[in-house]
Amino acid sequence: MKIYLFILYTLISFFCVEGHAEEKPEAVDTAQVFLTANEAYVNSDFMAAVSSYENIISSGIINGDIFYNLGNSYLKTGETGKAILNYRKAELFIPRDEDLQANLKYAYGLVLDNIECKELVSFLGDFCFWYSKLNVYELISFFLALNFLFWSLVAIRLFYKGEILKIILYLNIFMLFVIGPSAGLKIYRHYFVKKGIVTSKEILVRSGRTINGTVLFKLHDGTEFEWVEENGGWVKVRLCDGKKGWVQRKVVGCIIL
Amino acid sequence: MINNIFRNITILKGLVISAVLIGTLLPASLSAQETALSAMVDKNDITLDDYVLLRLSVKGTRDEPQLPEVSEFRIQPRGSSSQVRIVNGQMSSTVEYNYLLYPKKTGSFTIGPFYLKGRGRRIESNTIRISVQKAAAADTASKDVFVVAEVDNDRPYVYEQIIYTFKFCRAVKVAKASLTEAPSFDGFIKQELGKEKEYQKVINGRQFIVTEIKQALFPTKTGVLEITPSTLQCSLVVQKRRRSRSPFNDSIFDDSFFGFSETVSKILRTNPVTVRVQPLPASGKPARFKNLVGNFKLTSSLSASKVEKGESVTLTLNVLGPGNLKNNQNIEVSGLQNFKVYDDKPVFESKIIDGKSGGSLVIKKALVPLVEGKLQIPQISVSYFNPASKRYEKAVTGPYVMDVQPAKDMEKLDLVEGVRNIAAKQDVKILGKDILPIHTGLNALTNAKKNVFSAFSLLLFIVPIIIYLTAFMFKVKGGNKEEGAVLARRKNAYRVFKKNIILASEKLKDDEPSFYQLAQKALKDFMGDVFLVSGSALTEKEMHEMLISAGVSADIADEINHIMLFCDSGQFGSKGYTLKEKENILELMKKSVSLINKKLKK
Repeated sequence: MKIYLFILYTLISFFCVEGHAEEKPEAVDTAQVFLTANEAYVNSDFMAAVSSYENIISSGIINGDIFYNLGNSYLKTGETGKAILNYRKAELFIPRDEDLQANLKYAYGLVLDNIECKELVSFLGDFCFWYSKLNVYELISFFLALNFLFWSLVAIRLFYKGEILKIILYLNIFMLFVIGPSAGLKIYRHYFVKKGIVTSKEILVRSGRTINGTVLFKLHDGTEFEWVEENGGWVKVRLCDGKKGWVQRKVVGCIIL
Repeated sequence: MINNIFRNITILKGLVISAVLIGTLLPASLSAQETALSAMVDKNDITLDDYVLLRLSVKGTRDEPQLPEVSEFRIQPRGSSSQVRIVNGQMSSTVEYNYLLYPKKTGSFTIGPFYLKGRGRRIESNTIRISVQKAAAADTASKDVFVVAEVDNDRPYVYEQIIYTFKFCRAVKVAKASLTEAPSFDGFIKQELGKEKEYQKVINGRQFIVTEIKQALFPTKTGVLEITPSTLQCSLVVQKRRRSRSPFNDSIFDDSFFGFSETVSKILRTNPVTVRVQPLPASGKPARFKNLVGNFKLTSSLSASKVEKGESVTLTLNVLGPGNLKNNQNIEVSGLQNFKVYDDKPVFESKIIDGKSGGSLVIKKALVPLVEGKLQIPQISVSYFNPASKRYEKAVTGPYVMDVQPAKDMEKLDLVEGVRNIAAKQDVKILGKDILPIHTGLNALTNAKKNVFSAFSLLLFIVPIIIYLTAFMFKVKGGNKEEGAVLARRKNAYRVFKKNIILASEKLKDDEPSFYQLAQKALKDFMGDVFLVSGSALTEKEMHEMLISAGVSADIADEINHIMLFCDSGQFGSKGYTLKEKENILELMKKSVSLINKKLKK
């Protein structure tokens, strides 16, 4: 028993130390900048709105609504790629936001490239609604809650073996089997699979990391691709239909935060 | 033979030792070598269509040099080479990094210093001065390859179409070519004008292959507009110069097939094109002029000229011609007060008409007459400015007269009325598309990014497991106590029986019933301890059943039964038993209990 208490104490201490060690972003009157940005947007000064929203993000505030507003501002300035890039970032935090989904759909409608493909993950997203409707933090919290419930139930069952308890335990196990892999996949795609967006009107995809490389194909503003690797100012891209090539880093944006 | 083998082994050993020594000593001797970075170029004076080969030489380290921001040149890496020298036991390494610098503008520029970063210090190279001159304009005629950008009209009216042509002319073989910098058409609306063309053309007596790309431009504002230069990078196939006459110095070997040619990279840049855009003349401008500029024809048709009241007819308008029709798809038709008008979505089809960008615009209107009689659809016109005639013109069509009959009967009239009511419930028409507004709530300023792998998450994951393990340990400990007590009672049953039987033996010679009581108690306690029940309440019958169900033989069970009856009889009966009989029953009890104990232990 003493050993368990010691482990518990150590973990709690570690958590407390980490809590204090978190660095706070530089103090900026972000509320004022936010209000200025909103006003600029309403007055159709979209460039000023873009600048202010970018300032808020660079001050360390990461929030789905800010990315959404920035996406709107970019879309109004005609920069579809940057708009989609910020909408996709917003989607990591507020995936159920209807405004965001509507505007993202509108922005996708402006993209010139038509790449026919259907990824397994996007199919899962359609079928397993919780995967697309919950963000990574919500999904993990849900999983942790189910995990807590599971161990609590098996602990109770050591002393009391009721029929209702058994049914609740089986339901809990089923939910864990559904939510656990979803949370794992979400974490993997959130942290380890990079997606990129073309942020220039038209870019050339080359066979190698030089400007002399053979031009394989062209991509246009807003087209999404898999970010395979980055090397010396060049990015290796892969489209979902299998096409691959290298593009310059400055003409694309990365969705990962 | 054996000597040879030994000699080979000795040589091999020497090689291995040398390799190991070089491998171990090389990094040490390299680190001892002083680190240096130097920069050099193959030429300092170039023209805009030339390039410079920059060579950065790094000594004493394998770190790649860092390039500073150079906005005047486009830098393209060209690989690296390395050298290791051993002179008088001193080892030195040099790595050369090559880059091609393509100038973006004219002027005198200083580039560098380039630098090496890392190991706590910064090592800088020398700087380099490069002078970039304009390419000689008179060269074009004598050049093997050149590019040209031009417009067919450099003084257009605003919204008047001009054709921008980019030509890539070459009289030599070109291995590959790519447009590295596209022109900027700020102030113009651009429309593609067909695919690129390739043809042959004689220029100053030389035959050139020309690749031509055309684009239609529509200036959207007046004043001086500039189309920025295009840059094309190509690799020319040129013959290698041979220093001396060789046996293969024959024209047949000049062919690139035999490898006596090489490619030379070249940058070609067009001149900027200046366009002076004039405003449209103010005089004669129609009242509802929609900035339509070009030369258009307007045709129309009516689906029926005789209809019943409430029925609809379709008026089709078709505008055709070169010009900025794509951006002006709204044609107003006035004088239709007696009709209910339903507009269909205009259909525009891009076309190239007389080498210019234009198209055909089809507009359909459903007209439902509201009154009976001869109704007139007045003449329909579209005003545009014709740059060829330099005046405003009008394309006209119509008019039409429509004979509107009354509805045939009341029933039909009712039906028409009903249909009209249904028709009023039309689908919601999308008049425009826009995005939804921004989120203005201040909760947007809360930081939503969290660390999924935080200690808190770990705690939430681990704590319930610890709770379970604690509960499990608690349960196991409690269970052991209970189980231990049960086992101890069983284990001690025979020992307690033997103690009790000694007590009974002491009363063997007494005539009192205490012998029988003690003997019976010893047996009952034993049975109670073995079967984990209260022994004092057991009857002969229960004992018999318990023994049989525990797998004890029926003889022993009967003997136990007999002993119990003997004790009962001794206690409560009038018949007294002799000492011998008591001793016999005591022996029988010991023997039977011993057998039961052995049996149950198994």
